[in-house]
Amino acid sequence: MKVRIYTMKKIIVLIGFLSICSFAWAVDVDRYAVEREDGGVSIVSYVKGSTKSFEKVLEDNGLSGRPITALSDADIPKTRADRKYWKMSGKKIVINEFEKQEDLLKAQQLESDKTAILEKLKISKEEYAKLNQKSITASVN
Amino acid sequence: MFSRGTPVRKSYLGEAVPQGFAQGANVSFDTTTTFTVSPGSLYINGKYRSNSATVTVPSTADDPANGLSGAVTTIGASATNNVYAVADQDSVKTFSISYGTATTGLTNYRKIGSIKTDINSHFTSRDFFTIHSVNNKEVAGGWVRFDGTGTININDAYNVASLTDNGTGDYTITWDTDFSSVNYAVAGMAYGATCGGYLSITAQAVGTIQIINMNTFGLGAEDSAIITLIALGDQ
Repeated sequence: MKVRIYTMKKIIVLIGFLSICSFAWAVDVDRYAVEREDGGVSIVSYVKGSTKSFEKVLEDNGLSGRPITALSDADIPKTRADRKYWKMSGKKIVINEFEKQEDLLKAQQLESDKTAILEKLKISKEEYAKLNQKSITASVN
Repeated sequence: MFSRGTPVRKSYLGEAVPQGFAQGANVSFDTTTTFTVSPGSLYINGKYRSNSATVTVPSTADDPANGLSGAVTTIGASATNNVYAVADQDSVKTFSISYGTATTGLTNYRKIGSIKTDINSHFTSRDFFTIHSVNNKEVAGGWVRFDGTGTININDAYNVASLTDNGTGDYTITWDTDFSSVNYAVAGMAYGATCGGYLSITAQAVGTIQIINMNTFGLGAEDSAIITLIALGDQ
C-alpha cells in the first residue's frame, strides 16, 4: 500500500512538472477571431508584449475593419478536422453544419457519378485506384 | 517562457567572452590622438577582417584605406562622433578605426560605437563597447516554431507579433519589426504526418509572410504538429 501511494505521488509530481513545462514552452498570446470577407474565420494569436500594435497586425493581415471577437481556448473547437466549416456563433466558433452537409452531398454525388462511369468502362474501384496511384507517382518522378 | 529582451544583434566588442562575429577586438583610447585596437576579428560589411597584433591608429589622420583613422581630422569640443571599424585595407585584410559624424571617405565600415568629447576636446571615456557588432544580414531577422494542430500554439519565436490561422495548413506570420524590403529570404520545415510537410509561400510582404503546409505530393494543405520557419534579411 505504501509503495502504491509513493508511486502515485511520483506520478502526480511528474504530471505537475510536465504541465508547468508545457505551459512554460508556449509563447503567451491573446486570441481573436476575425470574420473574413469570404465568410471564413481567421484566428489571430497576438503575442503579448509585441511592439507592433494589434491594429497594425490586422492591417498587415488585410483584416482591418472586419468583425473581431476575443476568444478563450474553450471557444475554439478542439479538433481541426472541420476547419473549413468554422463560423462565429455569438462569442464561440462552431461548425457550419449546413455547409458541411452540402459538401458531403456533393462528395456523395461525385462518388456515385464516378462509380457509374467506372461501371460503364468495366473498371473496378481497386483497378482505378492503382491507375491513379501510378499516375501520381509518375507526375512526381 | 518567451520574453522580449535585449535584441540579439547587440553585443560588446570588449566583453570577457566575445560573441558572434566580433571576436576579441577591443577598441580603446588613452589620449585624444590615438586609438588602440587589440587583436581580434570582425565581419565588416560582409568582409572578414582580423588584426593579429595591437594596432595604434592616429585619430587625426584621414586615410582609412591605409589603416589610418579620421573621417574627421579635427577633434571638436563637446561633440559626439560615431566610431567605425573600417575594412578598406584590401591588401592587408586588417581593419582600422575611423570616426566622425559622417562616413565620408569610408567604403566598407561598421558602426561599432560612439564617442564624446568634453569642452577641452578630450574623450570622455577610455573604452567603448560596440553596437551592431553583428551585421543584420548575418543573423536571423525572425523565426518561429509552432504547433498547427488543435488550438495553434507558438512554442517559441523571435520577432513575431502574431500568428494567424487562416485555415487548414494556412498560416500568416506577422513580424514585430518589419523587414526593410520584401527581398528577405525565408526557409522552413515541417513535420509531415502524411509524408508531405513542406512549406510553400503564398504571400510575402515586409511585415508578414503567408505559408501553406503542403501534404503528400503537394496535393493539398494539412496541419502539422511541428512547423518551423526562419527569415533573414535587412531590417
